[in-house]
Amino acid sequence: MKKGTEDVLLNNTPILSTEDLTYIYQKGTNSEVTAIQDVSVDILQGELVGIIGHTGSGKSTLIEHFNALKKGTSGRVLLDGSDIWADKSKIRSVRFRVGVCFQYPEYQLFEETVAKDIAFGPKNMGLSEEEVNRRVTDALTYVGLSQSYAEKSPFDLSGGEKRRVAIAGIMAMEPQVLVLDEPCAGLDPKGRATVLQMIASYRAKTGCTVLLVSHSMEDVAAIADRILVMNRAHVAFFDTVDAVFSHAEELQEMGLDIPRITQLMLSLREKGIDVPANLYTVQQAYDALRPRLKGGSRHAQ
Amino acid sequence: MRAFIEFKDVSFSYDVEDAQPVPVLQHFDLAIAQGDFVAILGHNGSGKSTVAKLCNGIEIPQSGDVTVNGMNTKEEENLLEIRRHVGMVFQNPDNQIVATIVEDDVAFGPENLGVEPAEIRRRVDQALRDVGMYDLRFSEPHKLSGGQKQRVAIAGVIAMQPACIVLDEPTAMLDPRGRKDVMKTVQMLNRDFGITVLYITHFMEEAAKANRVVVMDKGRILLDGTPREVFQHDDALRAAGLEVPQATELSLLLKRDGVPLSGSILTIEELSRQLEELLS
Repeated sequence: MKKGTEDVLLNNTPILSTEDLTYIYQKGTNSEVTAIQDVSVDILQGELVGIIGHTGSGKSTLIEHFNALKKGTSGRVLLDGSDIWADKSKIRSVRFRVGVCFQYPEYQLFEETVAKDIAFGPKNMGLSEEEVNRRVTDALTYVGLSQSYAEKSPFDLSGGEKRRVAIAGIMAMEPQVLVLDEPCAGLDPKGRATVLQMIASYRAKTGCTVLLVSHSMEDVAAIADRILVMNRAHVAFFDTVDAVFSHAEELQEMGLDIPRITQLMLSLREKGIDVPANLYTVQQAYDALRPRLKGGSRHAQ
Repeated sequence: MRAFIEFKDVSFSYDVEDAQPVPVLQHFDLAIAQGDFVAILGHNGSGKSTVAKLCNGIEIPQSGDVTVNGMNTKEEENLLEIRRHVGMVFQNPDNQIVATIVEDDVAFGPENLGVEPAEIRRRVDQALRDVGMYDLRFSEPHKLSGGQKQRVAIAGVIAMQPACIVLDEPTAMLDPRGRKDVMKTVQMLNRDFGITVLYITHFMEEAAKANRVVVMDKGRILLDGTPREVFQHDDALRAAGLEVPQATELSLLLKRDGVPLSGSILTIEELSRQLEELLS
């Protein structure tokens, strides 16, 4: 278990929960499709949950329920213990408290300057100009862009920078729960690493709950506390990283996989070599293998 | 082997409103051999997608020449023939599907080329079998997974019987199985049918499966060679915003400590085999 995960899981107050949540597309027609069925999960205050699942498994439909973009065909969504649909006049505030950043969010940038784009959400919340400005400044810091970006046109930025500005726009609303749908899709390796790093540091600074949807087993293993696995509209697993990735065969049957480094460790174990299976990054594998390999110092050759 | 696609001293820049044009490629040379499987790597904005679009005349160079099978993309009368030779597959499957039934979508390309109906029927069936989507030929594309949609898009391209396929990040939006299925399909087209493949990707493990890897940085070629050669340059790749396959990265770390791993390692299987000998 990674450092800090235990603390998060012990402090087990749910911030966001679903109870038997089901959503059926085109209900009542002969082309009904059940996108999610009887999903009951508790997301704990301050944890970082990775959400994985094959295309069409229900991941995106599920997260659209978290900020009330969809209303379940049956079941409930609870935010801080209250049903988000109990009082319809409060739906707007739910959308401020649960910030969802959809895939390829840079296509939604539209303002003349980076600062105005990031300010769009906080302004809609009716905050004072001073508070809006503070949040824009903080959000730029969270995504690792210097204040000199504030007056640039978002359209003059690189692909990776645009992505970070779009994510900053959601962070600036200071949501209690931040949901990111494939924030690294289409980015080059450095861009991916930067965005992941930025999510981890945002979470460390704010203590905010983060949900990260990803098709990269490596990314999820590296930064999540727990992993929610969706399969054909159902929750297949919702457990710690170690517990989830101990189900290699089941995951592969679901069209998913285990991280490549874990594959290496498992293949060594199959050959009778006693190495830990629960390793996910190159650095972890290096640290575990290096002391057991001869070859000594750099001068040995 | 003779060059099928050739870039000679190509310069290309994008026009920007009220500003200087942004140069993407400057005096760029590249020759893609017939039947080769070439992966192109590069950071966002390195010029990879521009290379793809120049291959079949979606973009035309401002100076220099791009030729396909000897035909210059600058000559308007060559374009139909060039596009028959070079099929394109893009990142987002949802933007490439035009019909409401899978087999109609695959038929769209050959219909546009004026192929005889009986021949279209034959090609569509064959293309769908080739990509493993024949059983789903009557399905509605929007009900397919991302990986299945991409394979339908690939079937639509091969039904035009191109000599070459250019794929621009075809797996960026796919789940692990979708990524594997698309890669296997592309490898099969290259191996069994001799189709020339130009494969643009951000996934190093995919590039490791090509015959040749071309690494672009700021509009020029930084590295060019077999995957085993190119991925030994981990520092240069990292400086260019890229990385190396994880098996290679770990093996390089261990080798630098004097651990006697031999050769250049690309895959988890290769690394596992060598570690087994050293650890047992």
